[in-house]
Amino acid sequence: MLRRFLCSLFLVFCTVFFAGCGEDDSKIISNQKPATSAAKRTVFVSDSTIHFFLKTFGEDNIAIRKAEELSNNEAEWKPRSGDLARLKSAEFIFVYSKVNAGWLSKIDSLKGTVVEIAATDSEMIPSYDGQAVFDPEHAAAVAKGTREALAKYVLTGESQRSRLDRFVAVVDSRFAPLIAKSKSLNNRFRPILYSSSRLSPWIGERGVSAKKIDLNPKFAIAGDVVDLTLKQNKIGEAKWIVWTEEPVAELKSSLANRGLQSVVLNPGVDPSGDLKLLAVMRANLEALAKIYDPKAKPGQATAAAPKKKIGEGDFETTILPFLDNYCIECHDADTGEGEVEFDLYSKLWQAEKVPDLWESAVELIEMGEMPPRKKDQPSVQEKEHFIEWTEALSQKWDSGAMGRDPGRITLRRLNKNEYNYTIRDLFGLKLRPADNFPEETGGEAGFDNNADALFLPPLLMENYVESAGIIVETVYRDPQARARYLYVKPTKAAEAMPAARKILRLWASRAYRKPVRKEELDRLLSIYQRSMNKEKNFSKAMQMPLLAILISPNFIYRAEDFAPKKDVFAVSDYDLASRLSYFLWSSMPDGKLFELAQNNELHKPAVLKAQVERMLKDKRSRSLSMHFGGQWFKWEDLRSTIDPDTKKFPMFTFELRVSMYQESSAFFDYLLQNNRSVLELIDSDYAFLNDRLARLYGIPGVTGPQIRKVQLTDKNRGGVLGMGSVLAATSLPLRSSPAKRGDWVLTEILGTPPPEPPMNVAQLPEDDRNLEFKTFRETLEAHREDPSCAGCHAAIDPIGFGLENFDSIGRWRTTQNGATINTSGELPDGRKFQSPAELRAILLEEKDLFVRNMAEKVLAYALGRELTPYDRPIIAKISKKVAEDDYQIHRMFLEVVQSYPFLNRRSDSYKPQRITPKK
Amino acid sequence: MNSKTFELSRRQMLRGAGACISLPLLEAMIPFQSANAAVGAEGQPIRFAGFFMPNGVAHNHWDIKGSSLSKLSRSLQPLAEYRDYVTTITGLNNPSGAHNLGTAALFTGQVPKKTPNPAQVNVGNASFDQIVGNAFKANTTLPTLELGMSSPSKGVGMNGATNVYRSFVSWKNATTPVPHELNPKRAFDRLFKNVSVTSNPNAGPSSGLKPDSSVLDIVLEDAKSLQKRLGKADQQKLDEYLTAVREVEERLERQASANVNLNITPTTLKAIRDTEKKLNKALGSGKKGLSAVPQIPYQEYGRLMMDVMALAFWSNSTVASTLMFGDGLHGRNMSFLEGVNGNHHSISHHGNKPKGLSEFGLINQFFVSQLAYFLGRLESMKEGGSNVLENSVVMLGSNISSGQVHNGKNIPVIVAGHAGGKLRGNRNIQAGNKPIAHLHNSLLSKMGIDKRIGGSKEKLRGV
Repeated sequence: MLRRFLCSLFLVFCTVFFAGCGEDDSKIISNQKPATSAAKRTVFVSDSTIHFFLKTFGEDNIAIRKAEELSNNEAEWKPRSGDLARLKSAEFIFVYSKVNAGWLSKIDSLKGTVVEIAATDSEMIPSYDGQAVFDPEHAAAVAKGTREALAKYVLTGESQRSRLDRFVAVVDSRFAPLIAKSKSLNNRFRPILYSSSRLSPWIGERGVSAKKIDLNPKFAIAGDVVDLTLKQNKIGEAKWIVWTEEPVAELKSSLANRGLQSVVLNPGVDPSGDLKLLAVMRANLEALAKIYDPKAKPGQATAAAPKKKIGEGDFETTILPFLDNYCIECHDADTGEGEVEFDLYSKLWQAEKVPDLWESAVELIEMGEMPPRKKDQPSVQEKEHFIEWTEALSQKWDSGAMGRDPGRITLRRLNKNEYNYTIRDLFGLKLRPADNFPEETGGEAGFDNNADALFLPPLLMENYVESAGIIVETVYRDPQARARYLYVKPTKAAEAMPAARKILRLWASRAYRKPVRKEELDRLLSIYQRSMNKEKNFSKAMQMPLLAILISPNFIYRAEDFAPKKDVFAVSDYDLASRLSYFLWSSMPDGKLFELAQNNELHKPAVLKAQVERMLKDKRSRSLSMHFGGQWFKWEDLRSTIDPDTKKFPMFTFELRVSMYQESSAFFDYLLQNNRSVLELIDSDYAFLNDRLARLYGIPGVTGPQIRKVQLTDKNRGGVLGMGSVLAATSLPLRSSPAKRGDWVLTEILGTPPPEPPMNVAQLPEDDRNLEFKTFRETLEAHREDPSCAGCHAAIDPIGFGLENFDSIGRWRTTQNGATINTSGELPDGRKFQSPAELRAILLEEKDLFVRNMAEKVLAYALGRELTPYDRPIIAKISKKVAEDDYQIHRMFLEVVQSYPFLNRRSDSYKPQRITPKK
Repeated sequence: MNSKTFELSRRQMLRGAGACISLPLLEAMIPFQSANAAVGAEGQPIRFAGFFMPNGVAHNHWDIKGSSLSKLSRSLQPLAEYRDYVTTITGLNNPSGAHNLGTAALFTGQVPKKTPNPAQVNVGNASFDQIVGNAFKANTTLPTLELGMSSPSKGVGMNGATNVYRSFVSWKNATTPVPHELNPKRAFDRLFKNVSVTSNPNAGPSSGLKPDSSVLDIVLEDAKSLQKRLGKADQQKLDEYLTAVREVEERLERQASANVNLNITPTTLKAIRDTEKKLNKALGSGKKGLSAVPQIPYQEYGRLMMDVMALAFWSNSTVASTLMFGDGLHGRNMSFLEGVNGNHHSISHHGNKPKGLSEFGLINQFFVSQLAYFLGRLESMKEGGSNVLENSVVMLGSNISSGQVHNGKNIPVIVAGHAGGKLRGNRNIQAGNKPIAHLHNSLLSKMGIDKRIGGSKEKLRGV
């Protein structure tokens, strides 16, 4: 999904990667258009320092000795027996200085290669006892030495392997905290890199040591570097090498021989930007070490054969080997990582049923998330084939060629809201009995009308029984309601049974939303009769059957007529009436719908269209505003999880909470009542406010507690993104959260949710008072240097930054802790904005994504089920129609109602047939 | 179900009801009896209370050294007064340490099936509390009482597991979560609305017309004839209805059954009335209409919930109860605590920094103090020569070990109560990397229930 929005994400990574390199440099990268595969194959190789080398290995790839084992005086260092054994079995031993090289040389039978690295980190960091200073000059010197050492190592062909994870390091005590987390690595890594580094505390102070810095391929180049790494001979596929310093001539020419061009960037050494440098260098270093493969023949891949486009039919020749080589090890039936079992798909007909699976796989591969970086990596070409195949499959689904399937809707229980509104409309009573029922859960699409999530536990049944009793008593206490119920009055005993029959036939049919069946009516009459025998009073005797109606599964569930012998069949007009009314009103059909159903008119397209328009303008469609809109955009969370700190925000009273809810649902209502454009959800020049909200938002001239439409002069405030409800739902109790807001926009507006964050994410300050920097943005940006976060957050955070003018309860602000808030940002594709208004304008350009996302939301809500691949052509069609009709909101709902899955049902055993495209 | 069976049982029920109404129920007048139930020293039932504390703990403030509780850690300080009732256990694993799956796994002991689809949820077996409730249901009116303090979540969480898992710790069976009551007043009403010493002591549907004997039969017939007209999957869905109606019917029967020995005496009734006043005061003026979760300060909210739980035990209305202090990804603002600034979930990602750990430790301590409140309530409730805490098994656990690392290795676990003399307190047990189900199995056995949980028969040594 995210792919759609982040098709050019790679470019962002480049930009982030070189964030420390200055404006000019990033432009060099940006000029490499992402559309061509050449740019995707860019290799980042650059200078490095031993710190970053260590950092790279230390975090993940180092088996570490206990700190006390090493003396601070390197000259005195003697390897202990355990170390000695490891050293002897090591393939490479990196040493910092001649001192170490000296004693190493005295050890007999060292099998591995000793690589000496010129690193003088103690000079680089004059002091690390709390006042570390980063010295660019020393850093550069160190970098140079390291680079040269590595280049030598790489170029002299001493390496028999290019796998970094073969290296092990011996480090001194000061590295202990840095690597303490890498216990699991002992099993995997052998030799030891010896270091006298004092870097650890310096890194630690910057909050890095406690975290795992993943070589997460999401970050920057890693995904592409990895291409070149673990498969042999892939270096030739790269076109570019990007340096942050002029590479040593040897290396440069060697790489040039392989057809690689070099771009040199400024390393961006900057006292305040040292962390950026750290990240840059670390990744560069890894890239350098990884790309080297002594067996590679220069220039080999530059003469690659012209590519054949992979089609859907190439599953067994192209995709299966890919799965076998890179995926199946973890994703099989035995291991089943992430509940993905690729061994289920050994034939095309099995694989093509799950386009979403392949799409999410592609997303993870493109993001560099999969295969895990420790595992063998596919080549660029293999990846491209995988992607092409998936795209061909997706295209096939979207076109409808895979066949039609209305999907299976599970028997739907009335949810809390539907129960309340149905009782309201059935008896005309102001009763909300379901408010006491347990809260509903919801399905994947986030709606509480998902039939699969509507369980019926005994507690709820108890509630139904109790509530039925209360309803019957209320009906009987209310003279009008009672008269409506007992609308036939028997005057003598002989009339009682026919009267009961008439009354119960009507009321059971209304409650069951279709004509009551004879045997059902007979059962109700038997209850009446038994009660009558006991009570000897017609009115009293009619209580129990009404109670039974309200407890009957025919009332509590919406059971649709079923034709097991037919594959696909149109839903009956009565069932259609209920589908319509529960979709648009969350309630039972009204008289008009019943009448049309009875006359078998409702399914006729013109009738259906007129009814949808009538129903959307009916005030009962407020249920859409509250429950559909509220669950989509999260203003229903005002009922539960929205939780601003009331000490910090004393104005966030219950009344304000209610006002925010009303503001949001009134806005959606207005769209429905006036058939406005759905794009006004993104941007509007009006809002629905009362005095309380207007005060909060700083909008003058609004008095009184009633919500009314207010024309906005400020372009920053309109649409759902200017609503207190949404802004609070995407905040933490004590501060706004750019990441939450960015995620919200990507997910709820554009329908392109970012991948899940890693589990062990670090904590950011919970409150925006007493920050490291004055504004939260700066604080967050400093933390974003963690490469395992930076990749995705480059796509998420800028959007949130664009909304930082709104505090966590939706007030406008231009400063934070006295510093000016910077709301400028840049999206993955390079579009820039300076303010919430400009961000909105950019989002408005993403009409297609938004409308498609809305169509998915509306369809899932309408059907009460999750969408399947067979719904994809439906979504495409709805989106297209809505766009053609000026984005009118009625068109959206109408198209959903007229869609194939809304009008049809199928048998349990139905198998869709492929549709061969007409030539 | 055979409707004739119902007829029969209903007659029994009516007989029972008569007996029940006519006899004043005096404290411990009728010993609690069950074929297989463990009982307290004087025949009282053994109750189970399960507490779910989300997001794990800061182990440096939680873990205890040694085999006794003589030196309590910072987070566990509130237990000082109840040391002799308390056992802490380290080295127990939640089989699935994650926000969503770990929540569902705490009291079920198995790795739940990872699925985004609520229709496919599966936790392997019923949860501990439901097993206890089911074993002893003949003796109570409301065998299990499920309480919670967060609304259920919609959608899908981490790793593609439905948020249904994060929302519930109690599971009727492998595939049916049991929703919890969010409002302590409603929970109270369910138990005690019509209760009095002299008249009908039954708890039950609190007001309104009640279905007479024919009504439930008729709706079951409706369901069965409807079932015939449905596809296979929907037939299964409707099974939920059939089961639920039967359970309601059973409950109505039990309410009137002579076997039920509600402990409604002037003493307990006074406590019930006092609690009702407290609830009315806290909720009476409460804002209505919008909030799913009552707008009561969090500490007071939890204590009201525990008041109702304690009364449910004391009055013998319930034998097993769970309380979720929050859902599995609990993000409530905890800044009301001195020294804490932020929400529970975010602070649980403390980054192993001392300040974050300290704040998180304070939050953990808060939950322990809530638990201590409950222990105090139970201890104050006398029955026979002892008290309800003597005759209870109380357990607190979490979905994950520590908020920073999402796994189930070494989750925080506290067991309290003496199980009628079968459990000792003042102990810190090193379980040594064992699944939580082993503890469940030990406790089930202490409670005299011949059931096992979590796909294993093994018990935890030394409990």
